Amino acid sequence: MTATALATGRPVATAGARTRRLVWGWRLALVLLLAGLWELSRAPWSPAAELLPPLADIGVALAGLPLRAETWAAVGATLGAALTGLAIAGVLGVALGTLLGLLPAVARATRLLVELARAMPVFGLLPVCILLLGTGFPLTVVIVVTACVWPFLVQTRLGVAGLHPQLRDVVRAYRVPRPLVVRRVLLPQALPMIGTGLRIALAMAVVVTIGTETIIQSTGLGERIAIAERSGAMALMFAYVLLAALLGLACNVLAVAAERSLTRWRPAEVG
Amino acid sequence: MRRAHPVRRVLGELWLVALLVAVLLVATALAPSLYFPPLGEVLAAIARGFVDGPLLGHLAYSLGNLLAGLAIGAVAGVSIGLLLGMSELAHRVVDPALQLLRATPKVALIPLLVALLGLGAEPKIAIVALAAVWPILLNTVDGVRGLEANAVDVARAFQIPLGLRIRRVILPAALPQILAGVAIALSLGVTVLVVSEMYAATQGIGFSVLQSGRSFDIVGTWAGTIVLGVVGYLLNLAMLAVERRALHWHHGPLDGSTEERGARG
Repeated sequence: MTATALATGRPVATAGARTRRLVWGWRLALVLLLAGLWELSRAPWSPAAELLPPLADIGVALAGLPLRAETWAAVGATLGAALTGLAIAGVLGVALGTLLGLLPAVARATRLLVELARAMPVFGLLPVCILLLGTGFPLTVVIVVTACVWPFLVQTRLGVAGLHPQLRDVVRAYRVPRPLVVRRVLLPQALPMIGTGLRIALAMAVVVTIGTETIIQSTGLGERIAIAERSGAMALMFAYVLLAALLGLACNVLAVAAERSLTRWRPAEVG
Repeated sequence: MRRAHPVRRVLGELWLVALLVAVLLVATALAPSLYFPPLGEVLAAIARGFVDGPLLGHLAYSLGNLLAGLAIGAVAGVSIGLLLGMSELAHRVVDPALQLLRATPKVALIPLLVALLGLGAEPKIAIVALAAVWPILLNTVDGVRGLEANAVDVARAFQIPLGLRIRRVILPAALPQILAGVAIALSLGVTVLVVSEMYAATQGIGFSVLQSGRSFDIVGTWAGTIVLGVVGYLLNLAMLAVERRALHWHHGPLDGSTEERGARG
């Protein structure tokens, strides 16, 4: 952070501790301001008065969530569907992406198809898939796979295509067999790109799972949120939304860590 | 890479899609099943929907909400992003909140917005704006912070007034990043829009697809699904064209515009 501040010519605060206190002071002020705004918009004259619960109630509901059995069932179902879909999408996407990266002719022929499929809003597939699969775990997984396979595929293709000329010469000079080149040269070379694909796909997996659960009302966080909203338990609904946010944040942290560990062996400037 | 003749290049990219459509046309016509009606019928239904109006109406409604939400998200994202990009302190203060808000699955807010704003266009516009604002905001911050030190120094040395500096130095320099953010926002926006139309709506392309699915109008369901896919693709193409036009003066790699493009989270 200091390095960028120096590079961009911005004045750098010298007293780190003082700045930190200043930052935390402003953060506190911001939180208080937002809490005040929230309470203000619950005032009787506000149109949202009945929908916004007191902040304290949300806190109580959030603290009570771990005591509810259905919370754990919902988190488990959401994570289960998201991760199952992610795993399948990862295997499929990396395999297909490698294939497309190795065979430019096939990549060219399928480019339009991939672009079309990638641009498809996945939730648009729900009605058709409901007809074919019913509303259950398989449906959610299929939707997650359809959403998450593309970042893996595209990133792997980009990473695998184009071997560095020097490496190509070495590989040719030593007559390294093709499968070994794929495994030991091309895939490691593509790992940073695949890591980025993983990070994008993980965030998507959670969003898509919760979205699907909200629409088709299958067990999971999305369903909990919708049920709480429909039964007017607004504090509980906000607590579930917060839980979903924390889950998303945790997944993001994990994904960034995974991406980093995939690229650790590489010099930093390449990734 | 060797450049092929443009016609040959187009053919090289089109033949597989054409072949697939032809195979599907024949296969579904010869062996129609309950769930896979003849593709010809589906295409005819799309044509009818566009001529007689219902599909066109739903589509116009959806696109209108999408663009309105994107516009709100872009204005908010760019202006707040400028502010946070130019003030180190402000950025540090709100960064944790930004991370949490960005990580919140926006689709989880749809029930709340419907409860707040009803079944009309307002909750749809709101959810698109809410989903669109984060990638644009964060990319704007990155773009502004990545400004070359030289440019900042020169602008300061000539005492260029702030308004002019933002318009002529900071915004153009951050534009590639901002547009990359808009591209992410676009695909995110389409996603949340479709969910909100399926959750609770009376109009819109997502609503129409779900409705025909629920009433077992299989041909209509497929028709709507195909239209959605093609519209998504055309929106992506339009975004690419906008980027190319707006950045034709820009040399060198367009930072981050390809890598994160697929992100919907």
